Amino acid sequence: MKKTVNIEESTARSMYKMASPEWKLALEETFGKKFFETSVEDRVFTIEDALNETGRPSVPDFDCVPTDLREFFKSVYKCVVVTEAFNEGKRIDIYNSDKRRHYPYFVNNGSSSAFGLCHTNCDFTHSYAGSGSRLSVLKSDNAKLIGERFKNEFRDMLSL
Amino acid sequence: MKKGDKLKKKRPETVEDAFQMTGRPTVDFSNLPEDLRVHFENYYKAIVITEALNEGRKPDWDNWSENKWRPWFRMSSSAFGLYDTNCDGTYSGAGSGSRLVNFNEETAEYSATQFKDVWKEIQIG
Repeated sequence: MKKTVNIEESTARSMYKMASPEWKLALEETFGKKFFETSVEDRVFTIEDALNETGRPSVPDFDCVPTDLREFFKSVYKCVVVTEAFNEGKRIDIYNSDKRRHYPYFVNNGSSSAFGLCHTNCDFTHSYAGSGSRLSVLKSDNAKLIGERFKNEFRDMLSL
Repeated sequence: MKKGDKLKKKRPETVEDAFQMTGRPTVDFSNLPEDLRVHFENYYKAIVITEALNEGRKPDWDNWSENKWRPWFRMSSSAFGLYDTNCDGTYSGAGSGSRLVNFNEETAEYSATQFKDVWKEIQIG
């Protein structure tokens, strides 16, 4: 008897990490070896890439919240999904004081068009306002990368 | 009545007070993935609390002399709580921004201590 299994790309990637050599081979035959060799930094350039990477559903309409907050919540959702994508499924344990949490830091430079990454920060045991486990990344380089690559989404989240 | 007492009276003491003061509706986030609901529910509550405390005033990010205060928390599962408050003129880190800042240190401290559970759920939810 033969059965067909449909596997999302994001599921295949997380399965691959824990798979036995036989299963790894089967996954490589299906998705291609290169598919498992690229890093998240080389895969995620757009929100669609981040949604695809995490397997999260597309950005909700947020028609449950008052009209003036909808665009804001859409941008929060986008930033949460981008952060998840770059953390590759690892949820940060914010109570672990040995683990650094990195996040981008922005300056508005006087106008929305000049808004940009200022630097990145990291914390061990402290967290402010809306940061925390959903908006921090594990690698300093990735905090810089998401701050530059997803500048518009972060700008919307911080200003709308 | 002292001026401080008057201000204190105007402040929301509960999340329900904040909803009442701002006229914001309660929201059902059940259309979101289940594991994200707590985060978004509490984010929304924090926005409503901040709006109530700021009495409708919005930050002007082009105004370098206007300080924007936000609470900092000590992340400990047994002793989560206010660590300090911090302010910026034009800088903002991921997760802070227009919707979660206050205009003076005292209000940021009040927000963090009075609504500690809401802030905690944003951080870990």
